Amino acid sequence: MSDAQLEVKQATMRFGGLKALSEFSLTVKRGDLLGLIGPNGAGKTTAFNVLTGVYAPTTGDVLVSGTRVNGRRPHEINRLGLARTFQNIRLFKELTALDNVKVAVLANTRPLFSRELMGRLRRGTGAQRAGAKVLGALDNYRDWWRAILGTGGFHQEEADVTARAGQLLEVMGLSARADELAKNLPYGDQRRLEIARALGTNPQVLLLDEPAAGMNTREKADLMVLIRALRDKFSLGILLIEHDMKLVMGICERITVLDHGETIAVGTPAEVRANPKVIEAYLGEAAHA
Amino acid sequence: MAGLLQHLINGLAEGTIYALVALGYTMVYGVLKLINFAHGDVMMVGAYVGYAAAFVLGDGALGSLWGAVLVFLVSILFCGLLGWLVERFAYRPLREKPRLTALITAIGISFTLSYGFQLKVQPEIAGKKVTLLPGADPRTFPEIITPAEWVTLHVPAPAPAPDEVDPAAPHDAADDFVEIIIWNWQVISFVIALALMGGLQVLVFRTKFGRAMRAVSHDHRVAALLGIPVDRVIALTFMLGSALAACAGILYAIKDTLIQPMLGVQLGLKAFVAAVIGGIGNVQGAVLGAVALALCEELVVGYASSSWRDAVAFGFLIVVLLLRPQGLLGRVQAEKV
Ligand SMILES: Nc1ncnc2c1ncn2[C@@H]1O[C@H](COP(=O)(O)OP(=O)(O)OP(=O)(O)O)[C@@H](O)[C@H]1O
Ligand SMILES: [Mg+2]
Repeated sequence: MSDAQLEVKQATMRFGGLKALSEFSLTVKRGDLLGLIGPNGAGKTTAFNVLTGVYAPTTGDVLVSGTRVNGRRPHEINRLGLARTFQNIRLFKELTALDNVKVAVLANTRPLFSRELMGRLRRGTGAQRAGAKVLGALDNYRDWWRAILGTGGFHQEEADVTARAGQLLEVMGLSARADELAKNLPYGDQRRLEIARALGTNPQVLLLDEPAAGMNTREKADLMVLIRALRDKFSLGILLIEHDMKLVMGICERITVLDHGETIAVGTPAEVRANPKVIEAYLGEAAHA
Repeated sequence: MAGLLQHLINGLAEGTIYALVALGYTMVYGVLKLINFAHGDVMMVGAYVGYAAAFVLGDGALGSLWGAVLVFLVSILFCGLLGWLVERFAYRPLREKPRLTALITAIGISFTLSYGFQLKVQPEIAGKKVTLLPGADPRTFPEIITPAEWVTLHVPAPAPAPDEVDPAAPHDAADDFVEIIIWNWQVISFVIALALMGGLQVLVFRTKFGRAMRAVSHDHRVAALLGIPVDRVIALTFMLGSALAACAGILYAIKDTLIQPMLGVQLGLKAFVAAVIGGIGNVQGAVLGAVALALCEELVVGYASSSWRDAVAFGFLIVVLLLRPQGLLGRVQAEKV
């Protein structure tokens, strides 16, 4: 098995007659910081939707941590280690910042059985998968009666989850906002909260869909520094969608450029910048605008 | 004074039963934004399954603790399964369809259950008549709790009007007090309902499942992308709601002694109204709405006329919705345009 955390092979996504994504291929390894750019409607968000299981690719394969996930449901794909944020912010608006993160952390606490064991069973034969379901259920119901009885273990777990969520807020510079409702946060904080929430699911690969959209230049620059720090701190693979070419060029090691669903260039920032097709795609967009 | 006390007791007893049913409406609405009109009928099925269980257990079990526990358990399991089936095969395939489709399906299931139970299906199996569907006639629910007086309160009676008093008659001390009896089954029923509501409260607000449920209620697509098994959360929500309805069905049958197939339609509608009054989707609201509605009805029946009962229930609904469209404890949802 390769050390690729996320591998996309020739993924194509059609909506009726429209080929929103065409033979898209990509590999993300631990510690990678990759960029995905392209003009409006190029298919960037569609690529994320295909990777995270929102859509099943029409053809092609997606592998997360070595497991083929085409047609698997989003929550299973997430549990294999893939998390994302959304271009149009989709926080739980009526929950506090802390609770937004706790939802993600809680959904993934598995104190009874190790992630490895559960993952192995889920990938296994029919009988093993059934076994995984029973073990998973046991875990859930254990939580129920422990909560009703208010056992020490339950309070401990709750405290652990709160602490973990608190740490993630701190990393994202949101500690002071923990108890505010998500909908009342300033825009930039909402974007960072989305990242904190995604990190709560304890991913190996993080997909960021225009995390700097709507921020001012200063905030954008800070965020890019932060993203790089996240990559190092959590040894994540990160795939970053960003509209602003300059920004991506600044931090990404390799960049994939999409236009009309086609991959028109892959390479280092310098290579991509010099690629005539890329220049044309972006100039074309500028001309239309 | 005595009358008022009696009405408060009755109202609370009725209110807790409404509340158990209202919780099912509100939880399912919370996760799916669906009014599950079949929910009241699940409660009716719960009452009948309890009836059947008590019947099978026979006289030996009646009045014993384990007999009563078994009756509840069988009904809870059966209705939990029924709730799961309804969600899995009727609602889940329609989840991404327009909401009206699921709503009409819900009404269809409600009719299927309430009218289906009016059929009498009694095939002979191995020489014995086995009742599969009970038919429309009301049936008397067996006394799974042997009635006994829990306490008898002696409340001062209102002084009789002077012209009614016969000065010649000797004063009878018994006339100075009115007896209010609180039955053991009223207390037991009240305690069971409170315990169930308390348990639910813990599940919804303290556990992983509860947090997942609330996340699904806010945005099920995002919840899924955060690793929450949305299908399982929704299925469990239905099963929990149905289990509460099963308990409500039996408690109602203990209180009213007669059960019939349209029971769920009537009581279900009231419970739905209670959930809306409390703010649909809100767990505490459902309990508050249910108790408020039941007390309101009881006072009207007591001090005006029982024929006003339903009119007042819906009048109460209209007044609440006019003053607080989101219900007593509901959140204001900004309309997305
Ligand atoms: N569910 C869908 N059904 C039909 N067409 C879709 C769907 N999702 C996306 N598309 C189409 O696919 C194309 C690519 O859209 P996508 O959102 O992936 O672009 P993008 O690169 O993220 O653009 P932007 O920079 O504006 O976010 C667009 O033409 C869009 O209209
Ligand atoms: Mg996009």
